[in-house]
Amino acid sequence: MSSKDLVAASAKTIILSLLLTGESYGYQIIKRVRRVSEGELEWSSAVLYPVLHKMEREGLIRSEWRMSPENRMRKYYKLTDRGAAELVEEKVRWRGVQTALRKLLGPIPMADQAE
Amino acid sequence: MSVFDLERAVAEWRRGLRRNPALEDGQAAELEASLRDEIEELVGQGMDPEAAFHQAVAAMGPAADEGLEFYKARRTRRSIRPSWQVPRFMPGLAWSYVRVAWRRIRRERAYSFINVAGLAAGLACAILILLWARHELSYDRFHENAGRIGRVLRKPDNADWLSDSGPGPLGPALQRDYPEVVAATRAFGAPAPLRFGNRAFNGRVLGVDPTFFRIFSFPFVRGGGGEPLSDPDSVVLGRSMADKLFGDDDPLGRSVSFEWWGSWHDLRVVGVVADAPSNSSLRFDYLLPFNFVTRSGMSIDDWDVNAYQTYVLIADTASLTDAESKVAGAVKRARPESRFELRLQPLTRMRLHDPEGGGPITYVRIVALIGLFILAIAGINFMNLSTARSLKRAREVGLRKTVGSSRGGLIRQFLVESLVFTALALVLALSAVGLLLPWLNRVLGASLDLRFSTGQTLALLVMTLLTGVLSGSYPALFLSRFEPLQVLKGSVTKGRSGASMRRLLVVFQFVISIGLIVGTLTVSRQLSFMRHRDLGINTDCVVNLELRGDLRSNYRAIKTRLLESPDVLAVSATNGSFTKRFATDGADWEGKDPEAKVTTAIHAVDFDYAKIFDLEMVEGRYFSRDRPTDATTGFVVNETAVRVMGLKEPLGKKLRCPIPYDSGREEWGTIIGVVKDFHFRSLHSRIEPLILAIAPGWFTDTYIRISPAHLPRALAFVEKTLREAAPGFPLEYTFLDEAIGRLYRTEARIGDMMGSATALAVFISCLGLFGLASYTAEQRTREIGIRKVLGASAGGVVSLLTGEFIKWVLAASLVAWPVSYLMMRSWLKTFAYRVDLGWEAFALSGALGGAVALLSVGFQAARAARANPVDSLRYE
Repeated sequence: MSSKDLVAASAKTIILSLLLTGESYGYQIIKRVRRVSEGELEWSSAVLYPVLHKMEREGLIRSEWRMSPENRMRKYYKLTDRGAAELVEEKVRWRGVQTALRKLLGPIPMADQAE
Repeated sequence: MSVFDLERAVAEWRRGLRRNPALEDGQAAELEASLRDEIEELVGQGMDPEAAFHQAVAAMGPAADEGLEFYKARRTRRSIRPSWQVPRFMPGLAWSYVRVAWRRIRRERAYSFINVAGLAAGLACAILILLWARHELSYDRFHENAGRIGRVLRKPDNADWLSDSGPGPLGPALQRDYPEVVAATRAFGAPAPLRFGNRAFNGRVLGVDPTFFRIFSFPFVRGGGGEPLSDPDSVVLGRSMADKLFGDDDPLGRSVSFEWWGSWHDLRVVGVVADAPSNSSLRFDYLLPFNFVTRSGMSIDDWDVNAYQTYVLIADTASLTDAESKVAGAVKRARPESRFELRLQPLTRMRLHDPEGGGPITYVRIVALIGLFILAIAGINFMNLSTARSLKRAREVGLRKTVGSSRGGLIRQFLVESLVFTALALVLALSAVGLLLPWLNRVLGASLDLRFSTGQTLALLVMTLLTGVLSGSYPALFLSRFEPLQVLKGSVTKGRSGASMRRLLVVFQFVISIGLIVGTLTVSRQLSFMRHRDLGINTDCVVNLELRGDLRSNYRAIKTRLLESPDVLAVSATNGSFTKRFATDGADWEGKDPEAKVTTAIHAVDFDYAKIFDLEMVEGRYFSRDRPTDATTGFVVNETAVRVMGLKEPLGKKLRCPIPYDSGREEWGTIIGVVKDFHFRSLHSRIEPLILAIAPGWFTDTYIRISPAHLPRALAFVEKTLREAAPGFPLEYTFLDEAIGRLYRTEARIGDMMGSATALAVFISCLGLFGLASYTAEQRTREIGIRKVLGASAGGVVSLLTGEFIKWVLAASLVAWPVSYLMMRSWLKTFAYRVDLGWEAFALSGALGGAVALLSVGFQAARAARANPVDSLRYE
């Protein structure tokens, strides 16, 4: 699985989880993902916005244009009830994957330990 | 230095986004907000605004990609192509491609003609070869049981040759003792005339068992009820023979007679079968019960007389290989002392595969390869001419691209164009094949036709399509790469691009042509070598005539009568020593190693044999009428026999050689002379040990040497004498040297085919070279003009233009020579007597290739060189 496929598969769950804590906008989401993943996930806007639009069409999130505190128009995204329910299901699914991967992959040897 | 204005930069960037058809306004605004957030943050971290802007833009990725991603998120079906992209296929355009192609053909007639004619010639050749190969491969497959029929072969335990003749009791034994063998039939074929009333025709008789009709599919047209041919006096006619003898009358129940070894035998017609198709290995004009051979004293019950073919039908539960392992020991079962085991050759391999391996299949493969080569040459021509002409089309490509053609669209356009050419060529080729087929059928003695099965039609279409696509692909890929801006400015390198590719292709063409020339020269040299080799005997003006009927019974009188004419130099009779082969491994001699297995050929001869062929004796003497014992105990052997038998002093040695048919000979005889080795078989095989013996009972052929000075008069006399002696008898004679020439019929055919193929290949190459040269000359018109103004002579210009082509031919020769050397060497190895692969063929092929190139290029070069430079330079 290429990294692009991995992003596509996980983006929905990550976005839903982030929006659970409250509304957010595109740039903020990219930054949060970067922080949460400790810099491992670097999404570009070309990745993020199409996903957001798709999720909005599916009714998982909803958006509105509002003036930001810096006096600029910004599009804010918010979780819908359906999105919240979807997140619960997604969590169950990903837990399974997580358990499996943890057992299968094991601890990754660090370079300094190998010496 | 201009100050960086962030607002202006962002506005510019936004305009770029707006041009992207995939993005809606809202999406663009959202991206802009995101961009501004990032810039703000970067500036907040202390970066200067310009750097921050560029980094932020770079982080967003290329706008077009983004657009597609956004579009993908929006669309409802996966397969929908964005509206702003050129569709993959436009039905309207497809027709326009064809129209454009047609216009081009009409506008550039000469060029189109060269292109289409070359391709058509290549295709026609490929189709003809396909037809021929199909015919060869279809041999014997028309039998319903083809896959289950085997021909029985005998193999000696300690040698690796195989023979298809076996003993008479073998067939019935196989059918009786082996459950795998459903049916077996013996077969013995020979020429024998058939007569009804006063009508007599020569024909080929095949003696078979009644099971023949169960094994093979020769359907009855009339009669055939019960068990045909179980009555020893019955005959089944082939349809043509029936038509010749009876016309429209019903032949069933009629009485006909056939001649066999001097006497006529009456037979009753019990059926008529369809003629054997031209792709049948079994040929016959009429069928007799197998035991007809006993009428001439041949034994069909003796396990030691190996004279008959045996065919078996295998049970459908068994395979030929299984059955083979079962029946292998059948001869030893009946005759424990036998040293032969049996093999089964599938009927379908009989035509093309020699039992020992190899065989005509090699020729089928060679010829098929040549066909492919010619097709390749024709395809290369097409490619070369199209790319060479590309300059003329550069503007067209530029314009098409400017008004919105995609590269893919252009590739498709050029491919369609090439397919239109190919389709045209196919039509031409098929008509040419239709015209050539009767001629080819005559040359090959086959009956090919242009009827194709669905699969073959498909194969032909695929072949054409593939040719079109392959030969059109290079021009398509090459032409579609032109940049519109450069083309329209007129700065496309004048046809220089792709020149190296063209050169390579021309070299490849010449490699094939030169290789074919070497092959043809070698084959024809070997053929002429075989035809003109000193056989050790004189075969000039010797007429060969089969002795049958009254000719046979009146032979002595006829001979005396013939010799009365001064034009008849000698008359002799034999057992057909040159065209038929009789050999035995039953010879025995004084001091023979009991373990030695020696197969010797036997020639039954008369006293004039040495005289008629100018035989040369190395030791002892030839048979003489003055010594009566010569006829009963004398033997003459050849040098090879002396060597193989290991005789130190052959003269006077005791020798035993089984002579069939009663000739009044004693069992043991004495060697009275050694004849110098002479060739009595095809030059494929080495000279065998040979025993000559006086055996009048075995004569089958007479040889008559006539005076070359009065050939027509002598022939007329011979014919008249024979007619008087045997009235109403079909008279067919051949010249012996012609009969010997027929031994090399396969090689001669291959020679003819290779000759035609080579001529065609060279012709097509020339056509291509001619086109290419005219193009080069045209390209360099101005260069030539300037050169002439500056003082170049016409000769200098010609050598400038032709020099390049000659270089290519040289390069091609260097590649073609070693390859063809290896191939021809292995072909020559199939001959026991062969020519050396001299340097002449190679030198000649190179010279011929060069001459041909010079001729086709020189004409164009001369025209270009003679032109007045004023004309070529004026229009600038």
